[in-house]
Amino acid sequence: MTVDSQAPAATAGPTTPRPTRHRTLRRYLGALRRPRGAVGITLLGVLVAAAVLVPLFSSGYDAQSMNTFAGPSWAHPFGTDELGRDIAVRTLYGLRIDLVLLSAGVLTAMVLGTVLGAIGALSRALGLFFQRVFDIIQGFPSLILGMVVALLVGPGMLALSISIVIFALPGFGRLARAGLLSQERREYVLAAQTMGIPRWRVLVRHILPNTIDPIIVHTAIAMVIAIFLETGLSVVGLGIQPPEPSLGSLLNSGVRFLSLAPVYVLGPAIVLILLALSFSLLSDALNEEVLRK
Amino acid sequence: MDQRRSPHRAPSTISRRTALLGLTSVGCGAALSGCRLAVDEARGESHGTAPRAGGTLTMAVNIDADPAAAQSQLTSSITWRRLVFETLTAYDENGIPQPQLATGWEFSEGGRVLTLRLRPDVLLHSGRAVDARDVIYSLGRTADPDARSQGRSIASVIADMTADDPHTVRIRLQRPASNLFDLFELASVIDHESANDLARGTSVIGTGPFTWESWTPGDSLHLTRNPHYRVPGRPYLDRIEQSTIIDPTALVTAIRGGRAHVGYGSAPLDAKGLSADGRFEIGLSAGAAYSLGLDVLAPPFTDIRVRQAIGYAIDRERIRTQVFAGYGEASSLWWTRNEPGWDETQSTTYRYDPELARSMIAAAGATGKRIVMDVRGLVSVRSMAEIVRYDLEAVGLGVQIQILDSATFDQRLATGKLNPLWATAFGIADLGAATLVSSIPPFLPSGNASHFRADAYQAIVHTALTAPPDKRKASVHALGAYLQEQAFDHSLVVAPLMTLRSRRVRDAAQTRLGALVLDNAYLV
Amino acid sequence: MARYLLRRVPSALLVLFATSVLAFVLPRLAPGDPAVTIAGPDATAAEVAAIRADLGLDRPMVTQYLHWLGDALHGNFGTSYLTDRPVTQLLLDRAGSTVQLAILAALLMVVLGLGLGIIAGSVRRRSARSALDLFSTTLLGTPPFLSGLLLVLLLGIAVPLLPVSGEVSLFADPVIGIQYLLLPALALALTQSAAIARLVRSAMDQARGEDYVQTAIAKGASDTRVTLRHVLRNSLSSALVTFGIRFGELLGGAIVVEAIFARNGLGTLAVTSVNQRDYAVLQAITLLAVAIAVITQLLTEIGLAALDPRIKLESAR
Repeated sequence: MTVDSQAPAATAGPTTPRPTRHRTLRRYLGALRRPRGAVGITLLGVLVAAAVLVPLFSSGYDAQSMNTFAGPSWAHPFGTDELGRDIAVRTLYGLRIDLVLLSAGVLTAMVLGTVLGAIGALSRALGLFFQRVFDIIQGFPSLILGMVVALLVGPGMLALSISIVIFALPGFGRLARAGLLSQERREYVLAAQTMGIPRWRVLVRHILPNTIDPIIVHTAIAMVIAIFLETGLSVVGLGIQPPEPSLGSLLNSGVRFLSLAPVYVLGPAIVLILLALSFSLLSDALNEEVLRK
Repeated sequence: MDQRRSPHRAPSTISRRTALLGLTSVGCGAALSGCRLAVDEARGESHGTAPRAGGTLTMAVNIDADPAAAQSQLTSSITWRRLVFETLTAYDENGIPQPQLATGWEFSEGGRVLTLRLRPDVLLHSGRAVDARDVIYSLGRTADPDARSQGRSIASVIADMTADDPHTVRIRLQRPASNLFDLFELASVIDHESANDLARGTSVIGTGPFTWESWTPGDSLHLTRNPHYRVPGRPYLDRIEQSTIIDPTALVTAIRGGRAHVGYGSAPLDAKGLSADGRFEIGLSAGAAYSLGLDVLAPPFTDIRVRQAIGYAIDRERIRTQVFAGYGEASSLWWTRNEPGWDETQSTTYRYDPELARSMIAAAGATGKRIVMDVRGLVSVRSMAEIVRYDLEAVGLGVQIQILDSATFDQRLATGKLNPLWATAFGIADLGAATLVSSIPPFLPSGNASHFRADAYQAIVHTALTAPPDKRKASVHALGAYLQEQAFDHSLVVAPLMTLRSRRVRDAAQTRLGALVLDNAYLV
Repeated sequence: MARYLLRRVPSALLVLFATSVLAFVLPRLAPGDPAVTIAGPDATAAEVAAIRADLGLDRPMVTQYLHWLGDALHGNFGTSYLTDRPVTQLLLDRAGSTVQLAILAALLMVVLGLGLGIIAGSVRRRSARSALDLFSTTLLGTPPFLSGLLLVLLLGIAVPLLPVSGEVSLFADPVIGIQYLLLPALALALTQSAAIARLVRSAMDQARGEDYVQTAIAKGASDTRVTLRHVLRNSLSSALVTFGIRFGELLGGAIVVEAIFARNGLGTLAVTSVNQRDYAVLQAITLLAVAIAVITQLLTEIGLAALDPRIKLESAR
């Protein structure tokens, strides 16, 4: 499910050639000082901290007991599941696994997409070819793509990672190519070219730093896309397999026990919404602060 | 469905504004205007007990109907087998055969020949009167492996069948068989003329109270009232609609929401939510054995001590409570109490004793070994596997779960390509121990997924299969003891098949094996 | 217009062609042999080989593909290996459910999306604006699965107003049918409508800054009039584009939503086919989903170009 398959302001590269690192950083920090950015980063910080720290105050995600479907209490804020495991703890472990999976997938897509985009900017033929490949990927509804991948490699972590990388690729690839092409005819590039500096070097040393902003900003929205994919695939049973929890698979079991233990779904649902919200807010703030200025 | 219309307000009173603003809650809009609500229709009223003709009964089953299973006791046929078809005889509640399509029978030649007299006036759904040819075809079909009938081993005792006249069938047996009426219970009488199209579901013709109208594979089955049913005035119902709902939650929701009156095959944990609700009743019938299979050629299970230790390591009672909501029996025997050779002591041979298991595994030098466990992708089996993994880790074995869809699982089970440990379930349908072991893949003495072969095993199974009634107990006991000692398969829980039924359905019954009977059923 | 079509149609055809190749090849690379599955557990090697020949699985891939494509173009997607029925028949049997869901969801998506977008675009109070923004951001980040779940908790369990699972065809009983349809359609529409709302809002913001709007305001036109006559009219095109893009995703989302609401539509059929490795069915569904997505998008773009020649179509994707 694409949240925003329209690349945010594809051609709106930064207008000033090569701002100093200091200024770049200041613009990102500025985004975090905006209300949306501040809320987004705080939410994300809290979630990441909880996910990182959960092993310190629990005995693992598979601590089974006879205490089936306990209601919410201080010891178990979201109750326990069918095998007597604390749902809050499992939710945080699920978040932990998801964060690793999602960031690994999206970062891989970012690097790969940028490389493909750069190649596409250098070679017209390859560029057109990649554009068509991206068209094809985006032609697929994401879940159908995920199902095909799961069929090929078997359901689980690997299928999810591959689907996330494939599906996030076009966004990054198009942004990188568009950004690079828009810089091509700028004076500093032309100047560098007349000085006889090789084209790839100009690209890597000068142009790339100038196109990196939209790509970084796009990362936030790519995370949301990835979250959608993970949950979607988990619901149809092609996601992370037990006993390891993920937010999607917890929701999946929660749905099953909706009438026996309605609080079951609440924990993972809230965390999932907050996670997606934090990235959406960050994306908004970055869009406004980093790209529009 | 009972379409109660609220008398006081006409539906047209929804103002345009309500319609627009209430888009997100048309339910509310409908409530205001007195429209029928789907959630209300679900409930129905519980008063009024006189049988009422008409109405459509809806069913939800967790597996698609399979017309080829017309003569087997499977969830894919349990709902419609006795609706579309009838059998020669049917057991009453005391286990005494009663006439159905056969009006009478007598044994001769020391029990080697059985002569059946058929009802002369029964019409098939095709309009032709049923006769001896249909009966001979139908009994013969149960011996065909494709029919997957549990009566197959009994049918193999039949030497030949002849029709003395259109309404008399003479069956000659190779040896006297006291369980012949078990076969009759399973052998639905099928129209022999259209039998080639049976498996495809394009013409499924019997003599039952309902006719097979249409079948959409994977989705639904529709039956309609047979106006020429041999019992006058029956059935009451006009129509049966069965839909396939694989998801156990959705199945229970369908019952709770009134979308279906009768539900088959929900997981016990999901059904439990309904047990406290007076609008529904839960029925139990012979179900499935949930077990662990071990590959005796794969380390560490080459060591019999490790195999036996697995039996002691697992808390069966916890599985029964947490996975099966307290239904069923935590047992280390694969058959139910209905098997005469069932033995209380044997059912608890493997009691929960993690200390013992740990020391046995340590003695075999297997502590810390890592094993991959293949798990059949059914909800209950998956939950069970999580407990098994937890318990085995507690006694020093590392277990990684790998879930396989049923198709893949079956394929690997048949070809012996599963990982060293697997968790699965198989329908037992109250089969006797000997029939079970000789007909279900994990146990076949000739070759099984555990790669367990022994002459002693073949001999014990043969003894049990051919044992006369007075030696049955002893032979089944010996079989159980041998299986438990060799420990290439561990029974964990024998769980029932759950039937969920709305109390709006009255006078529904079932055959002794559990097939649904709706001759006298009506809706209130 | 013609030039645009000349450029756009070959590209759409290319996507369809590539998809057909992928749809055809991918399932065949998956582990597991359908011939073995059909033959059943106790089949001999000869029986498996016979089934393989019967299905044409022993012929070269290119031949199999051309054969498959030729048949597919005639609406014949072969026979399902598991149910022994024509795939086209299976799809048609299930399509009704999904089509009803998709149409109502698309309708809700447009209505809710436009409504939310217009409100967010016309409200001037800063606090109300941020609240609406936050609302649509949250919606945008909530997968249909989750919104469906929350709707079930709220309207199906806490206040049992609507049935939470199952279906009754609209044609069989419209009054009851719509109630079964409402929750799933709403779940499916919410996320996508937030995307539309966002686009409408930002388009309205942009339009407000345009000279002709400023002129209208300067001339003293009322706020409502400016919004309706000038701002909204020039913002709808972007909503239309989004609709085209979103519709394909709506179909993808239907897979999950059908699973939670226990509807027996094409999505459920797809999931079953994956589990049972019935790839004749999965191929057909994949191709169908992509074809519908691509064609809807193309049609929206063409419609848009016809309506407003100034729109730069290249940037629409």
